[in-house]
Amino acid sequence: MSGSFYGLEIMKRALAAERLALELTGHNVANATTPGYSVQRPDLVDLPGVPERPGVVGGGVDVRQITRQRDLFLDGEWRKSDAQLADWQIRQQVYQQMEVALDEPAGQGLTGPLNAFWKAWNDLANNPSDGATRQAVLDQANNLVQALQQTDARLVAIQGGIVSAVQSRVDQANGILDQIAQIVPQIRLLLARGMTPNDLLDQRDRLLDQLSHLTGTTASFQPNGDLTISLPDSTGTGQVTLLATAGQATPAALHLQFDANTGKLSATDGVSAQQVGLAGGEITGYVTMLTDTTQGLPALRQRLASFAYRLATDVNAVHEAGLTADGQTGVAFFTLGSGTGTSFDLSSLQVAVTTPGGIAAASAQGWTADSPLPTDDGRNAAAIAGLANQQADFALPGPSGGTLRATPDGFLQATAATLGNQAQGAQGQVAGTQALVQQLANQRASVSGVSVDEEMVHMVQYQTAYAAAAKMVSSIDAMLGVIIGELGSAGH
Amino acid sequence: MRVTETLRGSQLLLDLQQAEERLMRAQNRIASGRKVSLPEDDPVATADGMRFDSELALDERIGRTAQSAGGWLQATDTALGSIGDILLRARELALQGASDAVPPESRQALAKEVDQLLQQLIQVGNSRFGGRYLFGGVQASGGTPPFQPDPSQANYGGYQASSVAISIDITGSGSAGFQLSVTGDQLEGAIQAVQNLETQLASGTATASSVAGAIPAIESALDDVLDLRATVGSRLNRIQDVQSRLQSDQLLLRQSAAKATDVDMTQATIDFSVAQYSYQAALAVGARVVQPSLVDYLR
Repeated sequence: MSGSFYGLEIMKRALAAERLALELTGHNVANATTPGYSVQRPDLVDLPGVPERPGVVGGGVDVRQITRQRDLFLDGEWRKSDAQLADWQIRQQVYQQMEVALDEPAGQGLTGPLNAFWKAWNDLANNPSDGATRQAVLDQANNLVQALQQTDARLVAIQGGIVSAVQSRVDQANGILDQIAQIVPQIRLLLARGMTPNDLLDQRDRLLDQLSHLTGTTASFQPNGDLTISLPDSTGTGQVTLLATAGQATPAALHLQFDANTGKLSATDGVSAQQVGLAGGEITGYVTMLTDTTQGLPALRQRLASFAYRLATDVNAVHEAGLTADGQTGVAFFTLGSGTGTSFDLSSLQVAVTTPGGIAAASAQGWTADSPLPTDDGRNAAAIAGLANQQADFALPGPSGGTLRATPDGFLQATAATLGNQAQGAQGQVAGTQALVQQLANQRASVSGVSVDEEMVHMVQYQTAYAAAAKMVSSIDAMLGVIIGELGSAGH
Repeated sequence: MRVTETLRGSQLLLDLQQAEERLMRAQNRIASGRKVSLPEDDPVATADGMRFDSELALDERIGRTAQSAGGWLQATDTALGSIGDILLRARELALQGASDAVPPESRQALAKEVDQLLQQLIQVGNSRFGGRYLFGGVQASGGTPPFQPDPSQANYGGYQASSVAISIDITGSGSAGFQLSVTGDQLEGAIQAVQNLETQLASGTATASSVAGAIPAIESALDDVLDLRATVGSRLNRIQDVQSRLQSDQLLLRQSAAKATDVDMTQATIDFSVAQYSYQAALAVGARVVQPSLVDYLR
């Protein structure tokens, strides 16, 4: 038979358990809006009692452990989609900046100055002997060169912004890796002592969320709290392990580093570096836009260079065949610096002709050095104005290269349309991925989030149970009082 | 599904944000009047809009060429008309001088008038349009006029400018295939015929038949001038054709450009109303969903 105070022992454990459960409810309510918090539940178990006749009365209740509601599989899925979303969001953002830099169709980016350039030549063809008309050609040509170089300069500025954005995100990712490396041994220690470090685990998972949002890392876990964080290698077939804590008393993570010149991302332990692949996340979005020669920023810059090169070369060819007001032939209108096609150095483009008389408006056909100058012949100027309507082969960017046969206007239109299509594609990717991320986030919130209603129900339950246990204590007390206090008087 | 605070909150926020974004886009379209403000809004319409703009710019260039050519040709036509009138008057005077009834002193008087006609002819030949000599060919803006009086050669020193006519491009193709100007060498026949008449009339041995001998040259010059006028007239017609084609073309292009990039206000207003309605609905529902919890009912 159980001892006299067995009931009080049961109730003591019950009071302690209900109080702990109530405190846990308070913790949950307090963290109802904390990002990354997983709701915690007391794992209540009934204790086995002492065997006796006619049966066993149980030993009451005990809190075996406090568990957090978490689905690590959902975490992994969410991180994967979130990294993808972050990647496309960054691309979309950069595309928008590029579209603003190009300033088409609403603005007057390049088509405006280009049309003004053709118009000036056309006016010159109509009035070749007029000094003001000649000057206008030079002014508009300089304007066009400036517009091209300014557009390119805006793209270069975006490029600079991307580089510093990547650098700051790489620093952030390295900080997160270090924090995780510090948390893991604490988690491991507590788990080894049979405790559940729920809040540390939440913190670790939040850091992993942030890390994958930046870099698209994946993580795998061991039951003892050890984990491995990795990125794909540059070939995409293997893995580069950034942090592996197993067997390490004080684990140290590799650090990411970004080379702005090569556009390559690598992981280093301070001694040697290994290039890593792009697996999603904001850094991937930025680096892709910075380096991709078919979809990224370089593609647009190369298209601009290709446009300027073809245009200047074609204008020069016609101009050199013409006769200037100073009686010269073979005069180049533009100075082209280094490079050809897509690798043309746009900043080296200049208007070579500096005086109105140096413009070759007249045709040199049939003209001999001793005959008077045809001051009112505008046929060569008309031929240059006519280049607006002539198709030429414009070099295209990207590894496959190739050319696009179009008029100069047509090439600009194709450039704007290509950029628009790419931006629209990114927009579509963002919209699609966003739905998936939201759905996974909802599932995560559904598993791990705090429901205030639920907590209130639990609160009422625990409160009631606590009150009942207290009542039980007082009734056992009364019962024992009867035995101790009143039975004694029967002997007198 | 277990609905939690974070779930409800983030879902509501996302819904509101999406509704707000739709509202903002609709409002942007109405405020800017453009359907496409960035290429990503509609890449095809972007390219179309730019193409229509370029075609409009080309039309504008051709239009400017046609306008200046039209003025030039009209001035040429007027000048040729004056030359015709002068030649008619010269023929009249020649017929008078070719009569046996006319005494020699009268022929001297006629010669004086013909000299005036010759001066007029040279003046008309040197007439300018926009600072350029109409009949100067590709040297129409030289410092010296194309026809120069020269006392040693009986008031006329011959045509001094270029015999290459000014050509322009009225198609935008780059080849200047349209001949715009009439060069002065084509007027030399007329000047020489009048000069010859003056010489005949002024001669001390002038007779009716010697004066009559100068008439065929004047008549053939008159025919030539009429031919030139016809040519100039047909060129003017061609320019007017170009101008009227451009006008209808531009109208069409403007309409197409507007269709490609400009916003359809009716549609945009409806879009805006729908977006506004769905935003308000999202707000109203959200406010009701977020507010209550069991906390409100526990005492």
